[in-house]
Amino acid sequence: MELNNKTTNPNQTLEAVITAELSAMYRYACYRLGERDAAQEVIQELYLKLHSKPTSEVRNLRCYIYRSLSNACSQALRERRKICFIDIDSLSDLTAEDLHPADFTQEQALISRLLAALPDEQSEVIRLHLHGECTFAEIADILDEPLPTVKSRYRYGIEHLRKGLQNKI
Amino acid sequence: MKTENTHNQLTDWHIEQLLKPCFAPSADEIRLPKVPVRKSTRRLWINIARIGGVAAALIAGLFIIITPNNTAIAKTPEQIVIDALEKIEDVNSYRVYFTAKVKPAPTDVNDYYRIAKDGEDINGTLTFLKTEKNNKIIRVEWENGVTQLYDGKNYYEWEGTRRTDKQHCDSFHFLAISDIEKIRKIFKNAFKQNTASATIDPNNAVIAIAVNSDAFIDSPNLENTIIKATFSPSNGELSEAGLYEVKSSPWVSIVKIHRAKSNISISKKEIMAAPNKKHNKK
Repeated sequence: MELNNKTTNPNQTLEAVITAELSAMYRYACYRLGERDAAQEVIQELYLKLHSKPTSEVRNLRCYIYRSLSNACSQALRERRKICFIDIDSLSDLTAEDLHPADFTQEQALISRLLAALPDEQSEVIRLHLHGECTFAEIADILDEPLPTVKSRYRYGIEHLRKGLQNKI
Repeated sequence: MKTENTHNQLTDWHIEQLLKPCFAPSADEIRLPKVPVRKSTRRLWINIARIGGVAAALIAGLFIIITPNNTAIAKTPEQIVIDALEKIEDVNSYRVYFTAKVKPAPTDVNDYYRIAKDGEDINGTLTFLKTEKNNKIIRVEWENGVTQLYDGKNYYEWEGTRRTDKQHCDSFHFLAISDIEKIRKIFKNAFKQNTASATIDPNNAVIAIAVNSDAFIDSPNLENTIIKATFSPSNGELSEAGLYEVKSSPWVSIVKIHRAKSNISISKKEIMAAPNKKHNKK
């Protein structure tokens, strides 16, 4: 399943790609970091950083940007000591209200909780695919992993959550 | 099986729906910072301010350490240079008077000057101030009335008293001068790699030379460049300093430092002040 088939025109400038991807980037960062302010800060700093480096040799600007964004978010989470893992069994505590969020805060809390129950490599593939709207091929490029591995991680992650929420849906 | 697979697919779909954002904040909330527009990813042109700044840092440091009766003279020339660079960190302000060979920037580049060994000589003054909050402010005033200022975050430019704020980054990037640790490491590594030297000439003047590397200058238009500083043996004062292209003989002076004063009295308000002189277009 591919959400889109965006490819980067080699003639596009960095500015044009960032402009086109800003919504998806912000969405990814908001749900990764859990706070709008933190997401804005990461993107603003990344924006400056990307402009300070030469990109003429970058093969795929879009993947390069998301790779950088993913790393920047990881760094921000490490600095804020906000990396947490939960047991899949704890998802059974989710209430019906939890599963029907009414705003960004509730939705982000739910998504964070769900993804925290997965190994990092699975949750990151899911984020890039569903939040960053990256294709599996792009994710393979971003994470420097084989395509079948990326697809497997996505499938296993979804399956893991499905089993954890079996009685809730 | 089909029923089970269907059930699984439906449930997987439900999971995906849970994970897909419905209340994602709008990207309109983001205010992207203003950055200089890169016209080319190749840094074709010297950053005159960076050259002036790097040379200024070196000269200011050496100027401080080389004083009459200074026991540091007993050290090796290399150690003198290294010690001088270590001392730069203690300097909160300085001013350097220099002359640089420049040409006007191309019309499609929103900038003032470009270094060129066949350019015209233009005089300038570079003032550096490190604030209490360790913020580094650099101001360059050209003799024709152009003033360029970087306060660590933003760039400001004037032609005379008129604000212009040209969008650029290649010719006004003072990061090298603001990164003293980098300069110190550059020289330390340069000494180790034998791309820098410090000697005492027959007149007992201390001469420090560092071969240009990409860390200083990044331009295919200037090859084989060095930074050289010479200090008088009698009073330790700077007698000559500059950036030279050594490809041809005699060496071509690209940027020449005339004088350097350290720990000058200047406030943040003064260094940030708008100029009050007219622009004298050449």
